[in-house]
Amino acid sequence: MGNFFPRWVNWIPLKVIFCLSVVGMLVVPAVWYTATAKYTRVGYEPQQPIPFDHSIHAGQLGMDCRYCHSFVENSKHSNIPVAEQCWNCHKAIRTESDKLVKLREAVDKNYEGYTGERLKWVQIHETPDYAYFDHSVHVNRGVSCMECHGKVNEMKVVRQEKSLSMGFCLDCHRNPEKHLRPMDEITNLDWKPEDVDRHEFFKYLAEKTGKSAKDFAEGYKVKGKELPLTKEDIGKGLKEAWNVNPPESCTACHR
Amino acid sequence: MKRKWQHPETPDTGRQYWRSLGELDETPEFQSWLEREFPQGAAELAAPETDGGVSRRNFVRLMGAATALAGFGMTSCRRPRRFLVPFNEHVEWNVPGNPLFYSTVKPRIGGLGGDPLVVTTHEGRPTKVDGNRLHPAVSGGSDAFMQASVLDLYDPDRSNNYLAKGGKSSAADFTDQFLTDFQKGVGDGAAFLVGDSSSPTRNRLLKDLKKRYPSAEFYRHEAISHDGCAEAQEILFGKGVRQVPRFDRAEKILSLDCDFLGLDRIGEDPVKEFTQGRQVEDAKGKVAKKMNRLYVVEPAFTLTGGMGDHRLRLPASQILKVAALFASEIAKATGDAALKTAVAATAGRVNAAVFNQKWIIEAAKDLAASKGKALVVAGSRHDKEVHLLVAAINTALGAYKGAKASLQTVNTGQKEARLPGIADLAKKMKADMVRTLMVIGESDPIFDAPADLNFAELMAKVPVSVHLGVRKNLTAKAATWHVPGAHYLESWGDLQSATGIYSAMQPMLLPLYNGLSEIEFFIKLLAEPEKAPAEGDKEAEVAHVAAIEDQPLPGLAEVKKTFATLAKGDVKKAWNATLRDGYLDKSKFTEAKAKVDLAKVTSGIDGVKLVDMPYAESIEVVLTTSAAVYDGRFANNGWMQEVPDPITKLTWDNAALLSQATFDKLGLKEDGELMEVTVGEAVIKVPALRAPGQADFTITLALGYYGHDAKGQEVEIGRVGSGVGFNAYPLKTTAASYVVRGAKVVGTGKKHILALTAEHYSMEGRALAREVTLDNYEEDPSAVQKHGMDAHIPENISLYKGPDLMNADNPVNDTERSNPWNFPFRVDPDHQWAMTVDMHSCLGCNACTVACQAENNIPIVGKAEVLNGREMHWIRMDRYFTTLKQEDLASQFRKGDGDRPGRRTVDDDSVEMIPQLIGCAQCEAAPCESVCPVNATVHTSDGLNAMTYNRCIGTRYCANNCPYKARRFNYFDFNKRAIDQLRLGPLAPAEGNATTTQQLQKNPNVTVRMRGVIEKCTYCVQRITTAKVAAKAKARESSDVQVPTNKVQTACQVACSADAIIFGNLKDPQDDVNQKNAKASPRNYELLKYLGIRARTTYLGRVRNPNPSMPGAAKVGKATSEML
Repeated sequence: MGNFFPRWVNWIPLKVIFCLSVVGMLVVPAVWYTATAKYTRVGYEPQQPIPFDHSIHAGQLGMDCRYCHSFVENSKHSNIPVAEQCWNCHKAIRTESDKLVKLREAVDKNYEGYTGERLKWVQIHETPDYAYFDHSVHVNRGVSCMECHGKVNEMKVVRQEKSLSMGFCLDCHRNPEKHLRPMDEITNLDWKPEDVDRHEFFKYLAEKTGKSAKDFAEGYKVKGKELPLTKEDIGKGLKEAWNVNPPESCTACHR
Repeated sequence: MKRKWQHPETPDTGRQYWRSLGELDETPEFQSWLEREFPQGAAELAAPETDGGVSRRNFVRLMGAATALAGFGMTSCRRPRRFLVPFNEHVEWNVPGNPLFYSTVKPRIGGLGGDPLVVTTHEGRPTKVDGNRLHPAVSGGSDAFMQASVLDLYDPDRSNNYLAKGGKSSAADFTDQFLTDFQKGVGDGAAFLVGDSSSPTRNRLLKDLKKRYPSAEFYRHEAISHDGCAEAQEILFGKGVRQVPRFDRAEKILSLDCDFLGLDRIGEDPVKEFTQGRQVEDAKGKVAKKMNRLYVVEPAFTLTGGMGDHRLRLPASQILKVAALFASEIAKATGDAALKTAVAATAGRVNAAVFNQKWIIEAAKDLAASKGKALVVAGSRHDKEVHLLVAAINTALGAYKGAKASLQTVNTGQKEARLPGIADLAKKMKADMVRTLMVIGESDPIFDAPADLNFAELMAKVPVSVHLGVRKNLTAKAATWHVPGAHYLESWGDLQSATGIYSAMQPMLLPLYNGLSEIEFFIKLLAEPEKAPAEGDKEAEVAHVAAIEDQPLPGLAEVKKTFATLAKGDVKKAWNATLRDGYLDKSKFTEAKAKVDLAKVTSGIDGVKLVDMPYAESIEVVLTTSAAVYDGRFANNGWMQEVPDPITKLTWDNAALLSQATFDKLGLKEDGELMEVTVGEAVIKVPALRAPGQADFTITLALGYYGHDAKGQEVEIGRVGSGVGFNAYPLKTTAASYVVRGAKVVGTGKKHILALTAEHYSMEGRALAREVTLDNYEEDPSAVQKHGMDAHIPENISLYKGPDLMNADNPVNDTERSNPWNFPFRVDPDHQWAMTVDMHSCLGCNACTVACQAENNIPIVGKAEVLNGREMHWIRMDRYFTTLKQEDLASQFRKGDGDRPGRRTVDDDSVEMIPQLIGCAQCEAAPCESVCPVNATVHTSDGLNAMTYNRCIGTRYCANNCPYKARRFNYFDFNKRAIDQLRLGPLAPAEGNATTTQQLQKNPNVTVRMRGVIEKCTYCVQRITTAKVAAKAKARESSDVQVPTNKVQTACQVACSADAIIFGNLKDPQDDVNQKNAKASPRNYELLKYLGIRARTTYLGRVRNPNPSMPGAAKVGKATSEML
């Protein structure tokens, strides 16, 4: 019998292997890269024009987030303060500091280097253009700044803590109880669930829902024993009391 | 299980509905539109390479190159660094991310008052204009021009520079070489040509100018003028008295060629007033007997004619005769001897036999029967004689009488005579008596002045000419000096409405190109010559610049000065209130309570020339305002060029409209055939277009298209408007401005392709647009719900029923199957959105279509792509014509003509029009959702049919499966590329819309879609989300998260002057959408209900109010049943 196949067929397995390995070499790094936190820029920590230290202002001095990010409760953007806002204090405090040169160039009309040029802060937390995130609805409904931005009050240089991917958003939208806290603790990044007085809390829930405080107290007992309230316990109660019902439809963020 | 199902016999109402003559003829082109989503071949790369098209080979090559290049530099692996740049100092009212709203006012085109506005600005950019709903006299709706005017602000081709003889110049040159010298003189040999305006400040400054330059002369010019009407009023009432119709007070209205619902907006807000008078039900849903009745006499279909209960088609030249006949008939019916004697001489000269006498007699009787509540209006294009006759008729009908007079007369306080017109100016120019000509305003006299004046030549003779305007039009280029104008969104000003309500015009931003408003220009002329600082004197120069910068805004100062004379009490408080509310409270002209002296009417009309009916050898050409470009000032506005004409559905062109009979008589072969129209020495070539309901031997031709010049060269007017359409101004003369008689018309056999959208997205037959008569409606209010197949819909046994969104406890019929991850589909218990479109009020005016375009960042696609059926408008304004069926005639025609079926005849006398707005209906069991392979279109918890652009891969299955044909596909990067660069390869740099100021207009809350994705109406989901967010943010610790009643309004709803669109929350019982005039109305019906898709957008049927004694009344308002 003669050869059914021409000679070049011998090369086919080799060619296939070669192609597959090339594809594989492309796929592996692609998956590797996109699956890592680097892809979502967790840990992104760029240099800012002024080395503004949140750990001093929000941590040591205990300034409220909203002193500078003043429109966060009213707008979809949490604004970066205008240069004047910094200058309100710094025209009296550490005015001559080297770190403030850029600020003085922007606002201090008596400064010899005054240019009036605006400060260009590097954006760290970024959602894609087709995702319309709204700050006001989150901070007004029990979601702390910390849930997305981490403990900024401990950061010398702000970095991205959470992935801010769609999965990250949906995790919370599907289980909001894990991320809620009392309304007056929204900007208190050091808040701990243990700080909540359970009886006061049950009274509050009862008042909001029209149920009796006792019902709630019973609900948070295990085998008749009062356990310390966890964050999820508090979240569950608040979710019911405030009718928190985060949307999961596409139109919540995409339009 | 297969069910056999028989349609019952349809009742024969004797009427048939159709959208185009092609549909009536059942042409293959129409069949193709009907059966295919897009016409055959449109989806392929059809354009030849020489036309900038891409061959297949080239396409593959470019795609390969693009893919390869994409890998270099790993560009997609690094996200770009982005910066957040806050202001240095606080900006008042500015909250980053939140829009700011300003009240202002826009000059109503044509100079008759103003349209009060609320302008939305995002970070200082005006993005959307809407009517002011607080204003006492207007509805707060819009027209298409108003909506599109914001695009003109960002027009990349608008005037951005001083020009000297068409070349670049500067403000300094203008001041040095012209202004200073002019200011030193007294205006010797100077002539000002200004537009009409109702701005008190401008008119005051004009008077000041006359004082400052006593030798200068002043003239006025508007391409579309209201001279006849104004002259008649001056004869009857004297100077400064104006009559204002109140359509809401009239029960019977006769329009003599007056398109008051469309392009001839007389009075305050005719659409709102007319709609109020036309309501079928009162607020409680009871049938109100007060619904008005509208008679229309007109040469071509207009929006007014479409709303009419009875319509008579007649050449415009015959309106005078008809007015005389009406006068004598009404005199007879009311027994008014005075009127009879006043018009006897003229009416006696009219040969009544050529008209449909019964129509006139019965209509006159009906009007007379409603004496005191009847109103007759005449079109602005007509001469003063028609208006005098109409005034006499109105007197006999008691329209001027009483506290509730349907014709108010107000005293504007103006004591001077009207300025002389452009013809007088031309005489002076011819005699070389004008040495400095100032052309100020929005019209373009070189283009639009009467042709017999030869204005271009005359202007070339004038030694110095100055033009001020926003557009770089022909006059701007020809003038010695052109001064860039400021758009109304950039300038301080003021306007008074028809009844004198004062509104302040405030700017949203500084002029983009340092333009001057008319007021600022006048201030400049009034100022003393500036002393320029000596050269080299640095200190003086600095002081000079500082002095200029420190000056308060000159326009504002003058406006405030006028305001102080008008406001009563605390001026500052009143000024702030005016800026906030958009009008000055209690500012109104005094009532004149004028009476019509019939002797003046008699002397005015005595001996007026009556003309004969046109005939084939002497055709009448009616030059009309264009619904797209007005008089030409919107020629470079892409939104207006592309929005289909409300009647003809023509885009990117004007055409000569003719009736079928005229068409046949002239031996024309097909729509779009170029004809040569000769009037005297003027010859123009225009494409023919058959228009149902057109008067015979009358051509209707829209003005304002720049087209090509006599040599066949494109007239340069901007990247959108150059070479578009056909210039009709050569036919306009001083003697015959708008009605040109004695035209010779010959077909040339050549064809111009017209981009008509009438057949696009056709839904074939079926009871879509429904109407009944008032009598039917009283008998059976829910009659429209039984039209077509709706009377006998079998039970829906479909397997997929979609979620039951109205019942939060029982959300899904089959959770596990509907999504494999087993997340429960949650239903929003507080919000379910829905819309109702009241076809009874809807005129079909396009305001909603353009408003939607502005709100939702919808691009234009250009004529070539419209021809491919790729227009992107989310709101499609379908327009149906209905005619009497004449089966016997139809079969005769059908016999001959080879293979093709012969034409069915159109009875032009009985044509009615009915528009229908179609957008995505947000079906609960949406057919589009089940076919999307990537879940890019899914249902939301609040009942929307969501479209997620970033997920769409462009299979277009959804568009194929949409029964309403409401989905649009981005075939090209329409938002990124200019319309003439769409077919460039993927590597070509974007030089189009993305790089111009036009992107400043974009709404930041709506994704700008890219090539390859489907889009459609979303019920303005950005507004819904914003409202829901606001409700939740406000709720804070409360559990009440429902959006307040009627808080969400869609862009189209806000834009509608007739309040025909009602949108709201089904879960809120107080919401408008649940009321008697919406979902709870017996006229409420669902389109294609038998498909079982449960559309959230429903329609209210139209009710017509025919007069039973009129000829043909039995066939009026017999809707839809033929549309099975």
